[in-house]
Amino acid sequence: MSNTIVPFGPQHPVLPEPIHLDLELDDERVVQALPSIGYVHRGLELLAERHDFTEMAQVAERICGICSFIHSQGYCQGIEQLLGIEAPPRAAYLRTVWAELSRIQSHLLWLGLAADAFGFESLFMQSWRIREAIVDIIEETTGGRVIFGTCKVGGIRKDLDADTVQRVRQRLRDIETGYDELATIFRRDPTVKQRTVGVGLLSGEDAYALGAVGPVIRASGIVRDTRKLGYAAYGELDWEPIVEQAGDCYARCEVRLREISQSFDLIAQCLDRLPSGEIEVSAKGKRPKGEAMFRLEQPRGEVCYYMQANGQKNLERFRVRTPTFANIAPLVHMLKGSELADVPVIVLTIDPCVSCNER
Amino acid sequence: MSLGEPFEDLELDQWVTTAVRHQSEGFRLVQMTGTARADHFEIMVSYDKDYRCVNYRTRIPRDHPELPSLSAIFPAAFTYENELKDLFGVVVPGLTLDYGGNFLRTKTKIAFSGEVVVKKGAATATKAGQEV
Amino acid sequence: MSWFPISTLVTRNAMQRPATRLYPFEQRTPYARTRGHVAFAIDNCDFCTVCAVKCPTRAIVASKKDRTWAIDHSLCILCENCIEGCREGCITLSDKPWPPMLAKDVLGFRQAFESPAV
Repeated sequence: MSNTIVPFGPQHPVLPEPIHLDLELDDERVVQALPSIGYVHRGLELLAERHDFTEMAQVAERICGICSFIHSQGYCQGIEQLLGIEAPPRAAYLRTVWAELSRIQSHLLWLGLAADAFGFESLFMQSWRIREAIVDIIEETTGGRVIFGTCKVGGIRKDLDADTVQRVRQRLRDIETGYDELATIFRRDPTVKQRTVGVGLLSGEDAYALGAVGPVIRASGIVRDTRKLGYAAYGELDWEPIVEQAGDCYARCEVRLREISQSFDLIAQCLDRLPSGEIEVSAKGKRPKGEAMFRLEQPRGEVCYYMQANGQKNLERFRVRTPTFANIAPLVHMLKGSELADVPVIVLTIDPCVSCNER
Repeated sequence: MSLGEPFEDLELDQWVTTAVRHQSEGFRLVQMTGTARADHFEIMVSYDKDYRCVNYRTRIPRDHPELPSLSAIFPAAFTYENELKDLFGVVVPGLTLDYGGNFLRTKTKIAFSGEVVVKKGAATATKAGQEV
Repeated sequence: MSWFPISTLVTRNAMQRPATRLYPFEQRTPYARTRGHVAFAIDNCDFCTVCAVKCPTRAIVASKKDRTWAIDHSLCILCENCIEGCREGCITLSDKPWPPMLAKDVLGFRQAFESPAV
C-alpha cells in the first residue's frame, strides 16, 4: 500500500504562526517530514541595507514578539563591535536583567503552549498567569509589554532607580514561589509524563551533527550555551549551563523548567551587583566599518548576527540566523518514526518561532 | 566586546574540502549565508567548536551561480542551501533534499539577488502625499 | 500522589477571587513608564520638524510654513524618538493608551498667527 501524505499546518491549533509540514505516513507512523516556511517572509535583512544603522535597532527588536529584547541586544552589540565602542557596565548588567526577564516570559509562554498542546487547560492558564506577573515587571521597568524599546547602540535608553530595583527584587521572589509550585506540577503530573517521556528522541550525536541549538541540544546531554561566551554581564555571574541527558520531549521541558529557575537567580545576582555609573556611550559621528559575527543565546537557542559595513550610514549586509532555522533539521530527524498523534508535541518542543525565522 | 573570530577567503574548489576537514575535526555547522554584490555573490559559512567560531567566504559569479553542496557532509546544510537557492538563485548541485525553489514560499522569487537601490524619491513622494 | 499538586492549586484558585479583571468596568492603573500615547502641546513648539524627521513611520507631519503639527496615532509605534528629539519639550509621553480608533484619523494642531500690529 502506498503511503499517505498528511499536510500539517500552515494553520494548526498548536501553531501560533504559519509553518507547513508534509508528513508522509505509513499507517500512523511518520516516514518522512518535509518542512516548508516563508509564508510570512518580510525581508527585514534587506531593510537594513536602506536604513540608518541606529534606526535599525528598533526594526531588529521587531523581528520577533517574544525574543524582542534579545534581538535588539544582539544587533546593538554587533554594531558596537563594528564601531569599536563598548557599553558601560551598568548598561551591560541591565541588558542582562531584561534578557533574562524575557527568557522567563518566553519559557513560561512555551510551558503554557505545551500544556495546551497535550490538552491540559488549567496548567496552561496557570503558566500564563505567572507569565503575566513577569510581563508586568517588564512594563514597569521599560514601558512596554512586548517591545521593550530600551536598547540602543552604545547602551540603554532607560535606567532603573534604587527603589524600582528593590521592588522588582521583592516581586520576583514572590513570583518564584508561585513558579516553584507550577514546576512541581509539570514534574509530577502523570498526564505530562505520558505525553512526553520517550517521545521525539534525539541522541546527543545526532543533535550535534544536525546543528541543534538551545534547549534542544542541551536536552540531549551536550553542554552548549552561547551565554558562556561571556557577552553582556554573563562572564561575571555564577552559573552553569543546564543539561539533561534523555533527549526526549520531557527532557526538553525539564531544561526549560530549570532554566526559568536559573534566570530568576541570574536576575537576582545582576540586581545585587548592579554597578553605578553611565548607561550609554555616545555613538555620534561614528560609522560602522568592517564585518562582525555576533552570537548570543535566545530562549530558543543560539542566534547569529552577521553584519558588514563599509563606513556608510547603513549596513551592507545584515543577516540573522535564528534558532528555529537551525532547529528545523533536528525536527525533521525527530519526526521520522514518530506517531502522528505525537507530531504536535514534538513540533512544539523545539519552540518554533516562525516570525523569527521569516526575517 | 570582540570575539576576535577570523574571516577567511576561500577559492571555490576548496569549499568542500574545508568542510570535510572541519567535519572530521568535530566542528559543527553554525550557518551559511549569502551577500549580493555587483558582479558576484559572496557565500559565507561558519563552523564552530567549543564556542569558537571560524568563518569562510567564497565567491561565485553572478552569471553562473553554482555552489557545491555541503549537505552530504553536514546534514543540517540542506536548510541553508535551500534558503540560498530561494533568496539568491544559487544552483546547488548535490543537495540531498532539494525543494526546487519552494522552501521559502515568498511572494517575490529569488528576492535578494537584485540590485540594491535606495529609493529616496519614492519616500519623499509618500510624505508629500500625506501632507495634502 | 501525583495528581495532588494540580488539584490543590485548582481548589485554591476556585476559592479565590478571579485573577482577571472585569475589563471595561475595572481598569488597570498604568505604570509611570507605560507607553500609552504621544501627547503634544503646541504652545512652545517652534516647528523645527525634528520630530517629523526622526519619526520612523512618518506618523508625525509638521510644517514650519503653516505652523501646523499633526500625528496619526494609528501609525505611531511609540518609539519615543520624537520625545528624545524635541528641544522645546512640547512632546511628552502619556501613560493612558490611545482609545481604539474606528476610522483613520489624523490629529492636527495649528498655531494661530499673531495678530498684525496696528
